[in-house]
Amino acid sequence: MTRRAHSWITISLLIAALLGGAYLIVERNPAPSEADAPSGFMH
Amino acid sequence: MHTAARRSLSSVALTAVFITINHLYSLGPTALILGAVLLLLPTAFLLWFRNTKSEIAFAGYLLMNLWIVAGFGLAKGFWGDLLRLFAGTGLAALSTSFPKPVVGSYGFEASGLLMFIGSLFVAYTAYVLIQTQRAAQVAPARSVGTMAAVLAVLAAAFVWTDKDHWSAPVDGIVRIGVIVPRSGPYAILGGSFLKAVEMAKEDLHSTRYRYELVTVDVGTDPRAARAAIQRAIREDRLDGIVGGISLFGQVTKPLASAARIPHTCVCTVTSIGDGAYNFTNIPTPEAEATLWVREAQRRGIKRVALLSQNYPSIHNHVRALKAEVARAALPISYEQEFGDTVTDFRSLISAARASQPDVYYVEALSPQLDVLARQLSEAGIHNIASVVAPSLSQHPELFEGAWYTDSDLRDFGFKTRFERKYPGMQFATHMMPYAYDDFNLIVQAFERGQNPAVYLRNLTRYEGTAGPITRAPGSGNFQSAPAVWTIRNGKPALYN
Repeated sequence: MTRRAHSWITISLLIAALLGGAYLIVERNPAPSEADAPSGFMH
Repeated sequence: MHTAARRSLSSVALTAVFITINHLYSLGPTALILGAVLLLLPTAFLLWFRNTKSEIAFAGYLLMNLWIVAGFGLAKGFWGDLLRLFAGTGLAALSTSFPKPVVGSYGFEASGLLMFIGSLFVAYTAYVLIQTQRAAQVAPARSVGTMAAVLAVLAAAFVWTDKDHWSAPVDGIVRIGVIVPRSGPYAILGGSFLKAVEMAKEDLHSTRYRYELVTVDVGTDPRAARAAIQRAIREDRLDGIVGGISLFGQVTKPLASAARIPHTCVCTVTSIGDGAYNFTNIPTPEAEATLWVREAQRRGIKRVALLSQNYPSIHNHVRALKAEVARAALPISYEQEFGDTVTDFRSLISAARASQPDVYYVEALSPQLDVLARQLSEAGIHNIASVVAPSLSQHPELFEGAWYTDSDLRDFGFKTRFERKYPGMQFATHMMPYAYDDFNLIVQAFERGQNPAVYLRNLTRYEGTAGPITRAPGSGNFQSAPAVWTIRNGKPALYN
């Protein structure tokens, strides 16, 4: 395998790791719903 | 030269696509115009350069590259997305001195990361293009090293700026914004809320700093409220915010986060509390329902009739109550929801009575609440129960003997003092003690010389006016236990 191919594989793996890590963080921190309604009296 | 130019333009085009996708989340369709500019201008400059060898064209092309790399790649993609998401989350997990970052949807976050990655290719291919143009040697290791150094400096700067540091208030004055509506349907509650905070301020003695209240009337329109809150944060240089009513708490939340000041809110939209800068403080409908059912069982109640108004917060109380009633296997003999135009409840009352309930659960806003109570009384029905509602009645005598759950009041003298100090001002038990406590929470932080947001992130228990409030680490919601109340001699009184 050429050095260039090695570089591309490394870059691709880094990008996949970044996107995968971001997916895990987003899954663990769900954005609050816009439709959240007050749950207490008049609030 | 052609190969270098082609690779450079391809990187620009691909990154422009990621930038456009990312900005669709914030700008909407306008992002397509941004994308077109980022795609067409560099192409035009490069074609101009190819045909004329104009240095202006080449400089224009490089400036577009610089904009993409510095503005979108480094500032937005690296600092605003990658560092916020990864370093921000990691640092917040390590220490409460760092706020938990706001996390968007996966599409937004992923396109932000790709925007950054694309900009690295834009930077590298632009470097190769410049060297080719100069007929100079390309040194990949050196360019990668430079990029890594720039990123490392930015990362170090992020860690420093992400941390919430303590700084003593300017001139020894702490300015606390009180954000409540003073007009519209919430005006009465807003006015009382402000009085409770004023009382808390007057109760301060021998403090290290001077505390000033900055009242912000948010009116009735959330958009106008946003402008008023922004103005107060900017011009009055607020050090903290106490607020009430979820509608305005939702508006305040992002503004407090951006200003990095604590915002405590007597709000029941729990998502307002993010555990970073925003914290809510009020009993949950579930806590109210649990106590309500326990009290019903203690009283030997077997069947419940539900008469409630169609209103969001009342839905939540009723939903929690029904879940708890089902858990305790108490049958609901009758259930009816009514709109806010109904004034004659007699047929509804007759139907409920026919179901032979042991208690009538009643919840509505004034004035319908009082109309319903009067018609129940005229029908000879006095076995009434509720959650919170009777404490806000304009005619509590109509609920004489009724029982309901509401916030606890460990210091009952607080209510007495409030009513004596502000005669005629409504004391909403589910709000006033929390307004008083929320102000004191921010005061405590400054008096202890701690960044107030960090102080709140560390606080898991506080002995408040409404009893102890507790918070799970990381949560943005303080929890408190409600109590059973009754209307005695025409006034709310703790049952026990």
